[in-house]
Amino acid sequence: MDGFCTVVTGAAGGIGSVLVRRLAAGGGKIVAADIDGARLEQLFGADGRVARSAGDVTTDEGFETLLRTIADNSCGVCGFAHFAGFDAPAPLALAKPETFSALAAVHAGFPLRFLGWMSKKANRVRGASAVLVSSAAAHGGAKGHAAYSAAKAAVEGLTRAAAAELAPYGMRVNAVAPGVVDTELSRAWTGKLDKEQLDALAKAHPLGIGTPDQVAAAAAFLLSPDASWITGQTIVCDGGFSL
Amino acid sequence: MDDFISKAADILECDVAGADFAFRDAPDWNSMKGFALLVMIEQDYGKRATIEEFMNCRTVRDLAVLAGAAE
Ligand SMILES: NC(=O)c1ccc[n+]([C@@H]2O[C@H](COP(=O)([O-])OP(=O)(O)OC[C@H]3O[C@@H](n4cnc5c(N)ncnc54)[C@H](O)[C@@H]3O)[C@@H](O)[C@H]2O)c1
Repeated sequence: MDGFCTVVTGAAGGIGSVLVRRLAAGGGKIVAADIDGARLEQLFGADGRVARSAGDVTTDEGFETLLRTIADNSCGVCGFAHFAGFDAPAPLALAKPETFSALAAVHAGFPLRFLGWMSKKANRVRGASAVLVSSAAAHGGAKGHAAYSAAKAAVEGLTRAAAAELAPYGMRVNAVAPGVVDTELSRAWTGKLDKEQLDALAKAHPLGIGTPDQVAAAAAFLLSPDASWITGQTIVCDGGFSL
Repeated sequence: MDDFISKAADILECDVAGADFAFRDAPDWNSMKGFALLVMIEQDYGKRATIEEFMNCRTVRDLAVLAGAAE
């Protein structure tokens, strides 16, 4: 068993995979989790610093697999970055409660459970830091993203409550709220926009549409001891979208 | 086809007389209604259409063909 690890979910995704590389390059031991096991293997199979946990983190089975991978590869969790998730855009009239349940489960339900696990006496690590991911959609009134926005707003409530509970143990919880970042997730809905709408979206981000690196950098900062006096915050990381 | 027309009428919030109705001529047409048509096609017919395919559609029948719902 090595030292402590950082768990990154959504590790096969646009932002998560970049964060894993960044943290591994800094010398950390990473447990990379994603439902897409094949892609995890493809990305990190050859990297000895990255242990892989394939499974749906919202299921008991996926959760247990993750805990087993952590136990097999480290002596505890000093960092947790939750980037697993999806969006299911639909106008209000077509939004479905079951879609909201699935969104809430992955964006807020799983981190609630995992932070609960981290909070237990046997698992607590002083100095540990967690980073959840909200979205500009939770702040700005994103048409066509009502269910996703509601799930992301839940993430911010969770961030503050968990930060308050964990601060006495020297553990921190923060979130990042990105604007539009160029990944598979955003391409799935920007692909439904016409040229005019795409131009408006680009214009709404004065510093340009985000790259996974720009969000991973903010998350890496919050995970690091450089952010040791920051907890319970949601850092907006949106290229000026909210200005 | 009737089922598709009725779903399109629901989104367009107007009477759709038949499959040859040019959906962009619906009163109060806007891009959100276009987005809703694309989401309906994906949710109910399992077809993820590209924006180019959508832009090439003019009538409700064209949309139904795209969805695989025109027979
Ligand atoms: N891309 C954006 O514009 C944007 C903006 C704001 C917030 N975010 C948030 O950032 C996070 C990462 O997004 P991304 O753009 O990298 O998306 P992405 O689609 O590239 O990556 C998401 C990853 O999560 C994995 N995943 C989904 N559900 C899972 C589950 N139940 N269990 C395990 N893994 C699962 C997917 O397989 C995928 O690899 C998401 O929470 C997203 O909502 C993204």
